[in-house]
Amino acid sequence: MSVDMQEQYDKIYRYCYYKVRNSVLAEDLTQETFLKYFAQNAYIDRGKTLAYLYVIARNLCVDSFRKTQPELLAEDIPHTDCFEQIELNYSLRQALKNLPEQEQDLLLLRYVNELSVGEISSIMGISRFAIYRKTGSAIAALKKLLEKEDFQ
Amino acid sequence: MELELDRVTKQYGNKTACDRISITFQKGVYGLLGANGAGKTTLIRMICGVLAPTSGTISFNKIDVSHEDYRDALGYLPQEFGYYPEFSALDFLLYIAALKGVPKPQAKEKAWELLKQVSLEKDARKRIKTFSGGMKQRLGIAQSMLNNPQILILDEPTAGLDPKERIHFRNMISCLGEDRIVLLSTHIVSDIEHIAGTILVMKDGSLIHQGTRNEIISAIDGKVWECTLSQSDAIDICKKYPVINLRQESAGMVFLRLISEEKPCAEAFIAQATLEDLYLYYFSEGSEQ
Amino acid sequence: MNRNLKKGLKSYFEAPPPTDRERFLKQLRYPKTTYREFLLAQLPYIRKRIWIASALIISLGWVIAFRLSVFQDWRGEGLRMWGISAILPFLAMMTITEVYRSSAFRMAELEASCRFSLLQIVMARISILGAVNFIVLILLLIFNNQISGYSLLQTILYTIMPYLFVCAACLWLLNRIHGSDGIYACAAAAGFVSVASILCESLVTVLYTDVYLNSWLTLFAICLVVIGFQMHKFFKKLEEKQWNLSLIE
Repeated sequence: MSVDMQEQYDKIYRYCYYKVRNSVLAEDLTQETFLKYFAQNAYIDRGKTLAYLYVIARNLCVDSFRKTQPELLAEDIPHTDCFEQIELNYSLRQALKNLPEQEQDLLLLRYVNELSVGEISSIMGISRFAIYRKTGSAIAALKKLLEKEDFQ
Repeated sequence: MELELDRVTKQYGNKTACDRISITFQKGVYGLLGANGAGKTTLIRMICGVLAPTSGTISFNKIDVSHEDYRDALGYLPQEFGYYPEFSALDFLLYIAALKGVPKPQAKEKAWELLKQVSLEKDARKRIKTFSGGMKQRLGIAQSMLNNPQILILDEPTAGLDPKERIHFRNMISCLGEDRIVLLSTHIVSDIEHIAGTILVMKDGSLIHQGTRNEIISAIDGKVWECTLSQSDAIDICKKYPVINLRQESAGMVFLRLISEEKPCAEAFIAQATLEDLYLYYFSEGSEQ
Repeated sequence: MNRNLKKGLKSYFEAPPPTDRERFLKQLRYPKTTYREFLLAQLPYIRKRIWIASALIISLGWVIAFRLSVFQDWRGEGLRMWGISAILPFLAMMTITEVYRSSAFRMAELEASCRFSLLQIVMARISILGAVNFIVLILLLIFNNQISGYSLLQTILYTIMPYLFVCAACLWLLNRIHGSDGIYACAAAAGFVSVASILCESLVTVLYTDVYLNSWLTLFAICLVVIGFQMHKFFKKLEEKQWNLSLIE
């Protein structure tokens, strides 16, 4: 299997996990996204590809919320034994949690999944300008927070 | 995943190449064993949709062989295949991929992946004209996997491969057999012995035997004998029974391994039967050596 | 965007590793191309020689029709048309042998087992090449019509006859002789007709008179019938896959 596909799988999975907070469900949704995507013959250029993939993923996540109450889903206990969760600055974590959902989405898509601004614009339906503005201000605020921490 | 053949028959005028063959394939590696002209290639061609049966049906997951979707799930390596002379290995794969309906971006990716798997990456852009027999065969194996088929049919795939390539190929096929139906048609017994889960024995157009290696071999259990005799005795024995192995030993003695319903001579003792013995038992009646 | 922040973001959005990725991706079936995409994809596989030959034939036709000042009288008109019609057999031969490529290079068996099987490949080739031939023929007919005083019917008949004749001959040959031998036979047939045309140029004046018109029409009809019949036979063989093994070899 090509590296590209694996990477996309991981990215979509990460996105779904962020939305539904359950790894099993997230993987199911990821697979369903791919199946739906390929059922529709839309493998043309990269921009369209990725945007459409995320749109499907997002709709599936929303639908799954409608089907089951979020509270009933067992939220994964944060895996403190993996990766750098331990290192993650507590106040940074809180700050991120407190950001509006749209901003969190943007940060995930732009800086972790590394989509282009154009792609994000197609996915979320907001203008490129708005994306720059929102991510810019979010990043600035977070930076400030980290700097403050450093001084303490 | 089921490939079903129901009373498949092929007749050419008076000659019957395949006679009411019925079998159901499931996941795993199947070996089709038979002499040349036993109808193996005819059967294979019918399974691949290249030849139409005179009667009987062939279907995969209920899709008939004549349907486009059937061929979509199929990968085939013919016994002999040509190539358009201007093609390089990569061109060839891309051409076949287009015929299999694989969209261009995936085709390129998959082609390189397969070239790597069969160790032809470095020769990807060279013309096929310059390839050795073994290289061409590896290319053939690569093309059969382009559409990630659920049914993989290989007709004499190890012809022209050297021992190292043959082993590599066997391992590859064993892995592939884990999630698809693989049908290997060959008269190279050792290939089948090493990788086939189920063995099909074909003679004169019919399936005369079908089962695992041990089940098949039980047909000649107790019929394989070994003995060491003098030259003259050996000659007598050779005239009467099919001999599998003849070896000159020291002091003018001859070692014989042969097939016989009952004990051929006083000095003989029973030997453990192998698939090669079986092949000879079925396919060399009436032949002197 | 400093490194700490980036790391922080990555951590925050991190998910536990997926468990089913390999298996899922391995069995994922991609959508297949449509017939139209397939047809377009076959275009580059038509050998360049067809395009070159077509261009050459058109230019040659143009030259003979409008540039060779040698033939200026009435007799010359007929000669020019005769000349143009003499080069068309090669177009016929190249087209037909291109369509039959699979058989010549022993690719037929492999192609037959693919999703877009042999029949569709051949149809694709015929469509593409048919369109090319049609354009070339129309152009040459226009040239001939411009330069000669013959009626439209006569122009069409005289120009196309050698072409049709070679088509019929090639199809008949290829239904009988298989593999690359068939291709050679076709080349021979085309060459023969062309050369015969050139050698018989002195008969032009005679043959183009109205006296012989009916013979031309009859010959025309016979060729069409033969072509139709041979093509029908060819397609029947492909569709029913009643191939003799020798066709595939």
